[in-house]
Amino acid sequence: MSSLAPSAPAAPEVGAQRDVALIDLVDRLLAGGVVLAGDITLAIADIDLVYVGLRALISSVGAAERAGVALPR
Amino acid sequence: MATGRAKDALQALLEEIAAADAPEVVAQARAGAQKRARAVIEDALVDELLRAAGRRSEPKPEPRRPKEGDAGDAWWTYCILSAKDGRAVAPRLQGIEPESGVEVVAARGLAALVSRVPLAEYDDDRLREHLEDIEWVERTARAHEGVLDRALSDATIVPLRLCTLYRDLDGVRRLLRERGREFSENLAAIDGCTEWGVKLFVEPGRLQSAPVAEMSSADVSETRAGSEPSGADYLARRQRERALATHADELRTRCGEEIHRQLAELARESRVNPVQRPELHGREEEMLLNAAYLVPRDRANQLYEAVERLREEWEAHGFQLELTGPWPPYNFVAGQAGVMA
Repeated sequence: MSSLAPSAPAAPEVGAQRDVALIDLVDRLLAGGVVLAGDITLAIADIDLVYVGLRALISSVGAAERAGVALPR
Repeated sequence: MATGRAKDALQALLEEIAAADAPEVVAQARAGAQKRARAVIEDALVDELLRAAGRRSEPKPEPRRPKEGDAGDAWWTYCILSAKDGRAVAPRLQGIEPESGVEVVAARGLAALVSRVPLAEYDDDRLREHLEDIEWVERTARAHEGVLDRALSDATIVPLRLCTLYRDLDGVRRLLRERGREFSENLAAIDGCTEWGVKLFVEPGRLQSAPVAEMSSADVSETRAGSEPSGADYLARRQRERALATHADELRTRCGEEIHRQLAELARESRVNPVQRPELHGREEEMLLNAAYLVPRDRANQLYEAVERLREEWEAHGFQLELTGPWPPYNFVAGQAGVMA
């Protein structure tokens, strides 16, 4: 989907690898990027809390899966 | 006279008692004073904490709370880029909500990519609910990232954090005008670059096995020569184990540092983030490095090759390298919140 510069023939395989882990997305989208106050967006402190909560949730889901527990989807 | 003498006696007695009690009284007074001082400090702290909590939890005066059934719209913002790039990439993009195309809002040579979302689904309370729903987060995060990815293939972009919303397009224009300089500086710093993520893992137990092999022969001969009783043997073994653990820790650090050093040479900028806990990355291997590299597009191939080369060199020793990208430069734009461990 995202293509590399033409000078990078070896890498499209990596570039096309958009099947990234949710944790990597969350780490970047909720903890990285420019933070703007916006009109409606939650307070910045709230987003940080949401981020911590999501990581905890992903952790517990991951831990359960590693322990072989089938979680309802 | 009698009363006078009695008074004197009483006075004397009191003085005597006071003298005898003085250390205790002083101690009690000190304790009392400490208690009162603590209470005063506590009160002051409580006030301060309440004020701080109030500042946090007070609803922001700005956003008007929509009434039930308010059918207004809001604008989800994705990224900032040059107005020229914005106009070129926007027409091809699909927003996070179905049937909402990505639009360009431009001011002062800069642009924001935005798309329309129903306010009823994206006001403060709804957002808070959505953010507790991991499936909603995943869907939205992938859609947001999808827009950025496609924009990234043709433009330099400053990614915005998830859930940046404006009531109207005037708010977005105001933003571009007010923070235009900062955005321009951001764009210049990342011009022509994309972000790549590299993680280094090591198989469980691998870092211990190498030093064990190299140390064990010496240890064995030492033990034989001494032939101490078992208590001393036990202590010696504990000491060796500690030494091995320390050695393994050092090796871990050095491996991560070495790989990072080689990759950072190819990058315009680099950043080492805290490693993710096993529950987060979900692998059996231990994560030793979680880094991001800002790499010019014409050097992306070099980075890819460097990672491949390192992978070949290190995999026989139980190391694994994971490369992801190209990402929008989330880790290299100002104003980002720190990544929490």
